[in-house]
Amino acid sequence: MIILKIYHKGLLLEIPGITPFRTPAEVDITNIGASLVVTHLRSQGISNYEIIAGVKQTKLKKIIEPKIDLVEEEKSNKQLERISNLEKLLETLIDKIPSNTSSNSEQINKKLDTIEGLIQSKSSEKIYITEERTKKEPVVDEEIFIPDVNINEMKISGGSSKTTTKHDKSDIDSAADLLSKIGK
Amino acid sequence: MNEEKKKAKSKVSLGVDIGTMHICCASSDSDEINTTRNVFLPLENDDINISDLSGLSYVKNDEGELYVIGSDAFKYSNIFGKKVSRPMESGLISPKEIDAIDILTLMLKDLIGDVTNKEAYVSYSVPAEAVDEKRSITYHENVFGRIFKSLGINCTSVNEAMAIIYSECAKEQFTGIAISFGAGMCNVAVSFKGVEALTFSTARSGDWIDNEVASSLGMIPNRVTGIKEKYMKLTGESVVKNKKTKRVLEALYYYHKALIEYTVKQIIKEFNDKIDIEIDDSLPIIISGGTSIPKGFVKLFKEVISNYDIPFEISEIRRAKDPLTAVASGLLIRTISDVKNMVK
Repeated sequence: MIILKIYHKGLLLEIPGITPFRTPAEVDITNIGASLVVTHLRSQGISNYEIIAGVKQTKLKKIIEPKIDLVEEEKSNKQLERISNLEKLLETLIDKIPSNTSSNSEQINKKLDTIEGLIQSKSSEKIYITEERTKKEPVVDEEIFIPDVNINEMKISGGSSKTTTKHDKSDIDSAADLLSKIGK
Repeated sequence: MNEEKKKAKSKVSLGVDIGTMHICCASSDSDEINTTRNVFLPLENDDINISDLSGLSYVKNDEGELYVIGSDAFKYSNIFGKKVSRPMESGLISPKEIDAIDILTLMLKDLIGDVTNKEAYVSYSVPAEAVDEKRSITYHENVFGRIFKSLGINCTSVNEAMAIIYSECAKEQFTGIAISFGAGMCNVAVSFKGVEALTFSTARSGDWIDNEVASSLGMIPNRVTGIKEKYMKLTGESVVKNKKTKRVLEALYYYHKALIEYTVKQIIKEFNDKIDIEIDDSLPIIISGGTSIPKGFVKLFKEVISNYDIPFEISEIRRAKDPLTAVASGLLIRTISDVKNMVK
């Protein structure tokens, strides 16, 4: 999925292929293509926007999935257990009833529908939880990629290449005083 | 016992301006601002004996590689027939010079001095996001945060142009517009009573002028920089007779004017787009940064801006007291102010 986020306020945009919308907004542009949208935004002079690709989200989900709380897992395990028990009961029921009984097969179909519904609602709930957690993850990624600083084996030798200029310390102190009062 | 030792540590406040061309450091412990060029020169071991480097500031790493650093690197690059390496490019840490982070750390350590037995606090400069280039400042900001942490200093990043407001607009209660014409970028901040109302940057400044003049006249940018620093005056008076140098100075004048026009247009656009409130007071404009040093720059700025319909009243257009150290001074003011509020 490709999402376009526009931060400009108060614009009415008509991008071909999307229903006209007001900004700020988040729009799904998967079916249109990012390049067409970027060209259109440029022609309108809009620069304050972001395009987020769905691939990244999928990747994050994979990393984060094991972090789901134990409480959540326990809850979902209980529900799955109940579903499988229901399934077993239904299987026993089907074995006992002659196959040509139409009214019973209707009932069975209804129960199967309920089970399907339950499974579907469970799986959608799971996606919701993981998406909520992805918001916090990029901060961690950023930290990992900032290089470590190691100057233990290095030292400066020779003279210094600094040049110095004087500044008035009292001016600095009085400006800092004023700023600290204003900033309170 | 340890608690007592901690309490006994004296506090020191610092302001460090990390520019594309210069690094400046102002400290509450001193009435001097230290400045060095933000460049280094890698040397091959076969090129030189250590004894030849006496008097020069240099770094030797664990693999025996030598680097002349700071202003000395700039001075001696011609002797060794090499081009200096620049840890920063267009206002941000250079992606080409990842190895330079350790050297930058040492240069900062040298500039700041020993703070091991002190409780040190620093505000360091960061540019705003550029309106005309898609480059994030997040990596740059975090790399310098890590550098200061590795030196044992508590750090906060502060917008470069806001630092000029702190150092130059105390009499206006920190209200005004600051424009920092640096080497890599031009940074702009609009402040009301010390509150940042708008900040942005453009990727056009000193280096852009040099590169454009060089490509227009078929020269090397370094040569253009040399002529600019030696002869450039924007007042119209000419001190050189050499025809080629005159032509360079003429081109430099046109590109300085183009830079100012471009910046003024961006200020008007950003102001109209992002500031909704009606401004009753007239605002001072403060011009700073290395690119604004040539004589006549502020006069040219006044001439250019008078041709535009500006969305606010201007009370005064003035140059910072010292365009090279105004950011470092402002950052020091901010650190002292933060530390004061922290103690309270």
